[in-house]
Amino acid sequence: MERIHTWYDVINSNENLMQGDLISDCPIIVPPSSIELDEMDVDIELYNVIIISQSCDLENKKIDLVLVCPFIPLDEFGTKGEKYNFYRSLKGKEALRRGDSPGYHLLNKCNIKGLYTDYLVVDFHNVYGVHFDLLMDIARKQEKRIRLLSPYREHLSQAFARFFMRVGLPADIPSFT
Amino acid sequence: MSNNNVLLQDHPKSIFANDRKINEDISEEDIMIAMQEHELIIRIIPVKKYKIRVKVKSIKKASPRVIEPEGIDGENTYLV
Repeated sequence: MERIHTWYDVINSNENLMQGDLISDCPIIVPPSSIELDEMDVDIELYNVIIISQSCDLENKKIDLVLVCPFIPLDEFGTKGEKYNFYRSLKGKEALRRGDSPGYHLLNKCNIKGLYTDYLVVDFHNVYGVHFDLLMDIARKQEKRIRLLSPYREHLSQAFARFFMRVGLPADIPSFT
Repeated sequence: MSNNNVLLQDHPKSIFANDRKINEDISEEDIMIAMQEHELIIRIIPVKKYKIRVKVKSIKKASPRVIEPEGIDGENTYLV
């Protein structure tokens, strides 16, 4: 019997948040450079994000702030602003696929009817903390959302950990070649 | 179950299948050299940006929220 490895599942809006849930249009408050007891303008940026916090912490409400990372479709990755974008090239895409760029993580296409996505690039360089209740509220307003399934969810988590724990050596051992 | 019985549904391995067979064509060394030549940090552009007006009512030092580990209740702890 053949087994099909599906990457995603469709989740109803009322289901609990879990690691690997994709949330659309999540508002991120950009911290101002200084804060005083006064009225002030604060920038809000909307990102499509994926939940990085551990599911058990979310399930048991052990955290107030949920760790999320923004993602973007591969075909839009780096299309604005840059003179030359390595990731638009075949070598760049291949680097993403192989996991050679530790700051980014490539997720598969989602072919679920009505929830189609291109390959998605998750950015680990910019992580955000979003209040649990706010994130739950946003999730409830989405009729359905996509959830990354195991083991791809753990693969994402491991990639994030690898990026976070990386060490730059001041002097590497010279190449043997 | 052998690997032959596992169907990979649109696995990223097939990401460039329509362009050309890249897996064999581009070596790990090629990628590393290209990565060293180019700026590799791409800032993801937000879907939307706007400003809101907020009133800062108070500024105070926060206290950490302590989460008790499960299964350790003080009396039955294994710590000596």
